[in-house]
Amino acid sequence: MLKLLVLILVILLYAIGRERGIVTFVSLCFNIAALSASIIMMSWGWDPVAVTIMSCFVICYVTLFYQNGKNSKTFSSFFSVAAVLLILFAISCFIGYRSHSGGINEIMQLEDEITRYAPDINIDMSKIAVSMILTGLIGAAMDASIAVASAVYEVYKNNRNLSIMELYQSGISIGGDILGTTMNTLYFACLGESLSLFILLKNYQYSVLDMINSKAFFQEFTDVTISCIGCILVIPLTAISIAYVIKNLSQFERFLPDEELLLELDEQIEKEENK
Amino acid sequence: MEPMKRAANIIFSILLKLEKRNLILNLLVLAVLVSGVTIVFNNYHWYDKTIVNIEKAENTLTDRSKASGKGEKYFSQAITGTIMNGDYQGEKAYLSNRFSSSNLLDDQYNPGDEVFAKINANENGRLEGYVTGLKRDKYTAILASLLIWLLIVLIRKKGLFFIISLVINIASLGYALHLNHNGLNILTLSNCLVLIFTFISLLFICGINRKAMAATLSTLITLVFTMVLFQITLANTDGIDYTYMEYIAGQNNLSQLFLSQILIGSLGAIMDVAVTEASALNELILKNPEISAKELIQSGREVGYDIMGTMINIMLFAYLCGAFPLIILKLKNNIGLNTIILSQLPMELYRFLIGSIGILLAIPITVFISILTMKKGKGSAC
Repeated sequence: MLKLLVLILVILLYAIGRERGIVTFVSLCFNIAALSASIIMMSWGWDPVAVTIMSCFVICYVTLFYQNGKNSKTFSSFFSVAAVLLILFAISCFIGYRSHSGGINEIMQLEDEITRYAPDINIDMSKIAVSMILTGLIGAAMDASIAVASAVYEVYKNNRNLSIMELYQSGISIGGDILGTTMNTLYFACLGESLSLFILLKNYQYSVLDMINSKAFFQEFTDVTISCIGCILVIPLTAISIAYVIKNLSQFERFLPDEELLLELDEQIEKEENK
Repeated sequence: MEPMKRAANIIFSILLKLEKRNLILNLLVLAVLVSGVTIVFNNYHWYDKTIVNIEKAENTLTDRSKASGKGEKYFSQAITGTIMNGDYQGEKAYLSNRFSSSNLLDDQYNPGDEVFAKINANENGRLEGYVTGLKRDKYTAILASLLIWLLIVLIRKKGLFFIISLVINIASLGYALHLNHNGLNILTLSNCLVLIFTFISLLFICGINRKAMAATLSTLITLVFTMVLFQITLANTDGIDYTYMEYIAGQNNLSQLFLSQILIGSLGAIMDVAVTEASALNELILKNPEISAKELIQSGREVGYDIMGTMINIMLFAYLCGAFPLIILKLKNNIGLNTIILSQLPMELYRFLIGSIGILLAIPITVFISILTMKKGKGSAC
């Protein structure tokens, strides 16, 4: 069953995406490998939060620069996703520690499966909760960031006279368009996943207040809400950073080997010299 | 230092402009949200259960795990706190609690936490009891208001629309759950829910125009195709083992429940792809009404290449991050990662794979439907 579904996915990827589909598949495999590696490192007793932040940076680096090349768009996306990760790291640390949202929640504890395992694992579950939140966030943050960056880039390509402020404004307005659907993706995925939890809570006669205070609901809620907050925060950050980078390309020359605009600049200079 | 200074200047000027234009609106929203959070912080009388504000917590080591040599420590806590509601309001309470150093199944409470407790007066009049859970509603309120504030400040009208559609969607889900509790079939309900979710979300994202129509139609058709594909694979293999599905205690009809889960879970991603494709093609047709179907297919393909990688990544991280604690618990119990992924994690993987298949199918289907609906009515722009 699993193999057949993977096969269908690969065939579809190739049929619809051709070479880009294969690139997507390779980076998907890499992401799964990176996640597994970070989970194994956590189980060795390494600090979960440090491991997660490291693996998030590696995943961002590979996804952005391998899938899309090193140019001003990916450079500013990487910068803003990294900034959002650090901001939300602070928020999720505060929420994770203060609200004790780590560990196996009270509803899950009633399942047969949990009773089969020894709970002596000596890994701080609050830290695992923080790393869960951060991992859930980067996919959506990268998506929103890349979309805003390439849109602002296109706007600039078609009209070179725009100021940083105008580029920022267009970035924000494009960001608003994509944000709604990205957040829909996140919260429907979460609703689908926790549908059985809601049914179970209803069966256990939880009232709305009981539900809000339960760990099971709170875990799902923090995951999806902090992901959404990350998506929102990444939009102005990307808009401002891409606007700044493409307005001051010469300062970032050594970071951007694949930048088309730089090549154009070089050509212009050559032309002027030839004249 | 020069570029840093300039960057700071630009950021400052943006902040200044934003502040001037919307200062009053922002302050108003902020005031409403802050007062909401303050109410939630002091809502002790909403609860029948006793709430204790912890002032002092003393931990004593009671046991060390010897068997596995992993060094897990067990503690018991003596907690002193003030009762915040009910008959004993304002009096001191003495609670007990146990926790282990990993906090896997239990929690360590600290001074400043507010907890629910069961309390009895013993013969000396001392109020003793035990902790039943933490009061988490204030953190829910903080996160929700932060989200709403950011949406309204940064995205304005569209952010407000998103909040409205979210509220309607959640209300309809709540009603559906109520109906399910009264005995209606979950799969039938999910089918209705999917229709409602699609119409409401797309109405608030696109408004009423041919773009929204194309997106709605292609979302629903893609969903049907994905489900048919899933049923075909299900029929041709040995099916799904539901043993490792989470939250199944006492639930019957697991296959229908799982089907409803993947229906709702894939819906968001498919809708995302459909809207992106439909608006891109709509732009093209508006700019150049004479554009040929072949060119449209080509551009639709290009847009599809750009979005599919990141969309599949969203699904991957959103689904797999939820499984972290269980995977670590199993790894620590000497179950290999291979076994976990191949035979104990498949529910997350199935959801992820089916969601991704839905995303991929949505690309050609939306291009096709958009061309059909938009080329025909090209005289009437939205």
